[in-house]
Formats: sequence, structure tokens, C-alpha cells
Amino acid sequence: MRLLFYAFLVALVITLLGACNKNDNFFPEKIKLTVKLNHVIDGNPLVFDTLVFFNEAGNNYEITRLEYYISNIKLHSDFLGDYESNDIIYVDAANPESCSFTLNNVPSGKYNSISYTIGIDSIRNVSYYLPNTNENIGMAWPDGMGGGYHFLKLEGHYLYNTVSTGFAIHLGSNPFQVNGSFNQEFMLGYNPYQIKMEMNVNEWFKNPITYNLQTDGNYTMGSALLMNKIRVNGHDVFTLKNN
Amino acid sequence: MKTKFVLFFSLIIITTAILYSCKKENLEEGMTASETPLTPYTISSPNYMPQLHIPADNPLTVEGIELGRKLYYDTILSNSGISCSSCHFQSYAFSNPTVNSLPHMNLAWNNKFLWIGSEEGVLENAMIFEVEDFFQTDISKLNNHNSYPGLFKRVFQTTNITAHHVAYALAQFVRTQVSINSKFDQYLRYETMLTPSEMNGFVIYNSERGDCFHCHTLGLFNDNNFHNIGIDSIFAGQNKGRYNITLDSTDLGKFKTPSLRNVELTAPYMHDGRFSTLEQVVEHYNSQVKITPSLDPILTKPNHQFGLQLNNQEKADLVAFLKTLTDTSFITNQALSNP
Repeated sequence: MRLLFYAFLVALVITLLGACNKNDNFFPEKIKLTVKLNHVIDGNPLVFDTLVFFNEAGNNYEITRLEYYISNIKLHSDFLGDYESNDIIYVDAANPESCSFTLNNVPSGKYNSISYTIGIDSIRNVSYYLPNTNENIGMAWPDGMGGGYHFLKLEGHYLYNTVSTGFAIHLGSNPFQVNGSFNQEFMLGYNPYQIKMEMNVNEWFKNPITYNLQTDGNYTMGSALLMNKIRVNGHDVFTLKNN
Repeated sequence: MKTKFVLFFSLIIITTAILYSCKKENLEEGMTASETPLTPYTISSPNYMPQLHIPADNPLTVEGIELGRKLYYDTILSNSGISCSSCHFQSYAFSNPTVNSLPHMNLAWNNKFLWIGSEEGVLENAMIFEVEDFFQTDISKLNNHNSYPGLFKRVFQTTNITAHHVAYALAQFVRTQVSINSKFDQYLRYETMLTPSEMNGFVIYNSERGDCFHCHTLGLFNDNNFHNIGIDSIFAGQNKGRYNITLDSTDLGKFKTPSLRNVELTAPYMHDGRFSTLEQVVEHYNSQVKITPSLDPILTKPNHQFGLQLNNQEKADLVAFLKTLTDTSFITNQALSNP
């Protein structure tokens, strides 16, 4: 009788363990997601130092520098909940190596939207928060102007009264972080796990404010008015593209 | 039991023999058993300097630095009786007022070298250029010297000195030419005060008013990058700058941003030494910027103006601030002088 009882107990434990294993399958696999950043101007590849691009206001311009920080990346899923990254990523569009980064332990499955910050949140946007590197040393924002870091450096030349003239669209200091998002369904289900986010540079110059380098201003640093115009335009600079 | 005992001792003997043979091999490749290990050397720097990356194949050692220092001051490097120190005087922050050499200072944090970036990467790359191309060092002179073979053997465990070893030793010494103790550094460490004029100059420097900080970034006071700052409207010969490396017209007139540390000591200024005073340099940015297609966008000021429009007092204050970057402990540091 006792033998029968023990046999029953063993069978029960095995069954329960088996059930546990089955339940494990319910949890989604945690994956390493590669995010690739691409930069275009109205669908055309961003080619530096080439005066061939036009923005919404009609400015004929070229880009010589595009650097920024992207942080607080959040993937939202109606089924899986939110995945949020604490990483602060420095991007130099001229350096392909900096245009790709990985997010770890992302639950695989279906997602509905992505949100992000261009810049660094106010808690962490303080001078020397990030370790200085030779790559990002030029991103410091002067202490006398609020400290922390440049969120965005978009520089180039444009034709001003037919003369090639410089412009420097810089964002920095609180509260000029850009909070952007896009609603696009995507599935993280197949290896290699990778998504491509694409920045349309011309979105910085439109929607909702048509920014004219000639009449609004060619140099934003030190002007809260101009930085704010750029900030509000930045909400939709990124979209998700097929790999 | 006896068999187990024999087996156990056999194992110990075999293991000892293997370990001994490994050790012997290492010693043959490297130092002799009587030599002491090399002494590691570390460079500490404040948080406003970039992180320092030292190549894994050339770690800093006291002995390596001393060898590099000896070579730096030795004319044996050249075939014309000159050494590194012939053009880089410590009293001028390792620059030269007559031949306008770029100062040897904080190069440990640089990854682009010489005015137009002829060499890129780490200091070892730049030093190999100096040894093989600039000096065209006759390595046999070092191999036949009465003291160098022993020093190189000690540092690099080699009995055959090559240009590679010479460059690595020089790189170790040049990496220690660190200037981080100017009056401005002391101010940042709360050890001293700036005068009202110096402070006003700092505010101008570090705001959009003077806009120096974008390229001469605080800490390193350069940005490891190339810029056309509008000193020429026509580009010919060496004035083409970075173009002479890339052959890209957008690089016309671009030169490496020099560090402003010890700038008071490193006259004359610009790649060709055209300005002899800091006042002339400031006046250039203030009113003499020449507009060309490759002019750095930062040089176009708000409302499409060119030039800083500083008044005389502001210009004087800016120069006063620049002089706070002089590091007297650097130019008198015995560890960097002729051994």
C-alpha cells in the first residue's frame, strides 16, 4: 500500500513538473534586438556635403554634420506590455558603426509602437554624466547655458541670397528634449532579430512648423524660441522601415 | 595500494616537468630569471578629459617611458643631427616658435595627427611615421649602440631592435607629456579664482558669444576634427589643408583643431604661423572670416553674420582667459626634460 502511495507521489511530481515546463513555453523568448538607424531626406539617401536637398520652406541645403543622442527607447506591445531601455546612444550619421545598437532581453512577439527621446532626460542631462570619449567629446553643452549635452547637432550650408551660408541647428538643455513616437505594428519573431528606424531629416523643418533657415534663423543655440520650433518638429522624424 | 602510490607520484613528477618546461620556454622568449618585472605606469586625469585608451600591445611602463624619453632627446634618431627635441622645446610646451611645430601635449587623447591628419589612429602609428619617414632612422646605429640594446631588451624583450620598437618606446614617452595643471584646471578644482577679466573671457569662450567651445572643447581644448575657419579665400599649396589628403573639395582649407592648452606659449598661430599674437587670432574670428563653400557652418553667426562682433574689452577678456590655460608645471616637469 505504502509502495503504491509513493508511486502515486512520484507520478504526481513528474506530472506537475511537466506542466511547469509546458507553462514555460507561454513566456516569450528573450532576444537580442539589433536596431539600425538610417538617415534620409524625403526618401533619398543622406549624402553629406552635397547641396542638392530642399526643405519644406524651399531652402536649398546640404548637411555637413548630423549627431545626436537617442535614449529612453520603449517598445510597446498590447500583448507583452512595454519593454524599456535605459541606454543612451550616441549617433554620428557619418559613422556607420554608430548607427546600429542592440537592445538586450527583449521579449519576442508582436509590438504596436515605439517611443524614444532624442536627447537625454533631465535627470541624466547633467555635465559629465556620460564618460567622455573621443567620439562624443564635442557633445558637451556649456554649463553657463544649462550644462549637460547637445541633444542634436544638425549642421550644413544653404543658399542664402545665392551665397552658400552656414547653418547650425543645435538642441540642448532642458526642456528641449524631443519625445517622438510612431505607431506601426511589427513582429519580432524571426532571427536575425532586427528593426530599422529611419530618420527623415526634412521632418526637422516641418510639421507642425515650417522652419525657414532664411527667415527663422540659421543658428539656434542660445535661442529658446528657435530651439523650441525644432523640438516640436522632431516628434515624427523617425519611422519604422522594412529591413 | 602500492600501485596507487606509484601512480600518484608519477603524476606529480610529470606535472612538475611540464610546468618547468613551460616556464623555461617563457623565460627564453622574455626576460631572464634574474630580471625583475617591468614597472607599470598609469596616467590619471580629471573627468573632463576623454577616457584614455592605451593599446594592449604597448602598456605604459616606467622603463618604457624612460627609454622613449632618452630617444626623444637623442640625435641618433636622425641622420642629420636632430632629435624630436630639436623642434619641440619643453619651454614652449613642446612646440617651436620658429618652425611652427604643433605642440607635443596631451597627444595621448588624440587620434588624428599633424595639421592635416596625415596620420590617424593611435600614437604608435604617428611615431612609426616619425621613425620611418620623417627621421628615416638608421636602426643599425641603435643595434650597435653600447646601451640601447640592453634597454630595448629590458623593455621589449628583444635582441633585435626594429623601427617598431623605437616607435613604441617614443609613443610611451609622448603619452606622458600630459598638461592638466593650468590655472584654469586649478580653478575647476576649486584651488584658485579667475580674475573678473578671465572669468568674463571664459563666459565668452564657453557660450555662443565667442563660440570657441564647439571646436576647442573644454578639457582637451580640441575636438580631434578638421575645420575651415575662414583664414583664406583662395586655396593653393599647403593652404589646401585636409584636401591634400582626401582630394575632396569639401575639405579645402580644413586643418586639425589645435589644442588651446598652453596657447600663450605656442605662437605663431595657424598651420602656417601667419599670426604672431593671440590678439591677432581673436581679431580674425572677430572680423576677418573669409566666406568660402567649405567654411565651417559654425562660423556663420546668428542673423547670417560672419565674425563675433566682440568689443575691445571682450576681446581682451577672451585673451586673458586663454592665458589661464598656461601650465607652468608642464613646461618645468623634470620627468619630461632631457635625461
